[in-house]
Amino acid sequence: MKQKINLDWIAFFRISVALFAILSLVAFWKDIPKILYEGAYIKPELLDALTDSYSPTTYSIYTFLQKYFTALNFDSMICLFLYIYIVALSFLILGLFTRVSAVIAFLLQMVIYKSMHLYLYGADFFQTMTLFYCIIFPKSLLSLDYVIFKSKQNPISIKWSLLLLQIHVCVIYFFSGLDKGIGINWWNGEAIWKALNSHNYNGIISVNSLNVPDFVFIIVGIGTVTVEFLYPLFINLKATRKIWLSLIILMHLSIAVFMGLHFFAMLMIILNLSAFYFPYLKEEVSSEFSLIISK
Amino acid sequence: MLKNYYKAYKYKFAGHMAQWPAFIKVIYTNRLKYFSFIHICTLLITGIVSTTFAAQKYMYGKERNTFINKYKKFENNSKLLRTYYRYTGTETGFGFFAPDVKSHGDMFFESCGALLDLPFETNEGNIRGNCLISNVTEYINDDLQSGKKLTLKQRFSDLLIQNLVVKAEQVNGLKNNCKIVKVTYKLIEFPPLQSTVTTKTPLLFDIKTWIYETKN
Repeated sequence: MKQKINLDWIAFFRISVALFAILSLVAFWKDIPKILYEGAYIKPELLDALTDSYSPTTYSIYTFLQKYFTALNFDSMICLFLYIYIVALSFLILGLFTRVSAVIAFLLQMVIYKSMHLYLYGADFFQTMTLFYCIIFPKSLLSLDYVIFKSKQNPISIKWSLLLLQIHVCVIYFFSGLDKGIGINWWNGEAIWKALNSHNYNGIISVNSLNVPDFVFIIVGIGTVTVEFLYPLFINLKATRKIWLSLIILMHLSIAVFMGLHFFAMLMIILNLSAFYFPYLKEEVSSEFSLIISK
Repeated sequence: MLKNYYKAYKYKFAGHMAQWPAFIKVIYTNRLKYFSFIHICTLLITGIVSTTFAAQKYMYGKERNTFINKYKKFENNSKLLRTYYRYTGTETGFGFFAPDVKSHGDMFFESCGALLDLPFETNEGNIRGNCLISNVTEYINDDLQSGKKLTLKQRFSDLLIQNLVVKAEQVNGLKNNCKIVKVTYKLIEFPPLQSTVTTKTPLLFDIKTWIYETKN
């Protein structure tokens, strides 16, 4: 007997979050020795001393383990952590031992990233949050766990998981819009102008090269505040959901193109699609992303 | 074999569950519902607290003594709350580039006329390098504003800069026998929007300079 399984929002969320975590790590793989290893620009012990003790760092784990394994090498331990992290994320993509691999990936992400806490930005904190959700959200039908172990889904958990994700995304945009609205420079175009120039890290297009008139910056600034602040309202209205989703994705694509914050933009787009696109996909559209398995 | 072990575990768990009191069964079945309620409350609190702080700093230049500030103090001292925020990835607020977009600072290392560099090889590494400078200079700003005895964080900031100086010397492998490294923190200020027609280049403002003598 064959059964068709559609790509549901839980599967999209799990696969894209795990893939994102791998890509964002690989993106600075060559610089890892300069950030995390013993010979890093900032010594690991100094970074450890500068952080709190609510979660362990690679250095605190190393000092603990050294009591039992005196020959332990710090750089080798980091390498081992990184490879286990990638393997756990790969298992998460496949949906194999989903819960266990999500827990391992989450803990290692926290240890690795907390050990470089002076190098972190918004996307890294959101990554911790999404991996935490991979632990608590129910397993998707589009996973090896379902194929092999026939794991069942709790319908109450599915409903509340989606609601939790949707409210979380709404809270993020509402407060982000509110915070921006307090500043006068978001209303006169200065903030957009400054963000695009002063924080252009690896943008594909430079605003300077475009000779954009001032009023465009004013419109974009006011537009950003409005779209973010009113997101919880218009994303939940059926009539405006697609428009608002398109506007917010356009905003994040602009962040990627003009500011070069590719991973932050990517993660926010994943959150938006998981919360407000895939759950409302019609049956015929979602069947395009289906997988046929033998039962 | 693995499949059979999993099945046996599931039946054993179901057997145990049948003996649980009814209210525990209800809690277990609705666990995500109850957690969602608590989690959403914490998200709202985080949003309200961070927005209030941002607004106070923006409007009054400093934090004020309000109920929210008292709550923040309580939260900072609460191991339970701090651990919860850490392990749910919700310890930061949501005000990105808000209420205002800060000017971006940079650090320049110079050894007897030769500029020292701390390079990263990837684009993502460069972004993280910018974050490092931003975090180190955040403490410098505190230092400039307070004008009092250095706090622990500010002393750590000095240690971080010393660490970067040593690393800059090692990475650049200078052979000029110069033992002096000058570190300058400059603020990169872009011209305002209206003046872009005539001025396009950013201005560099010297904020603070340190002179370090290095040993072999």
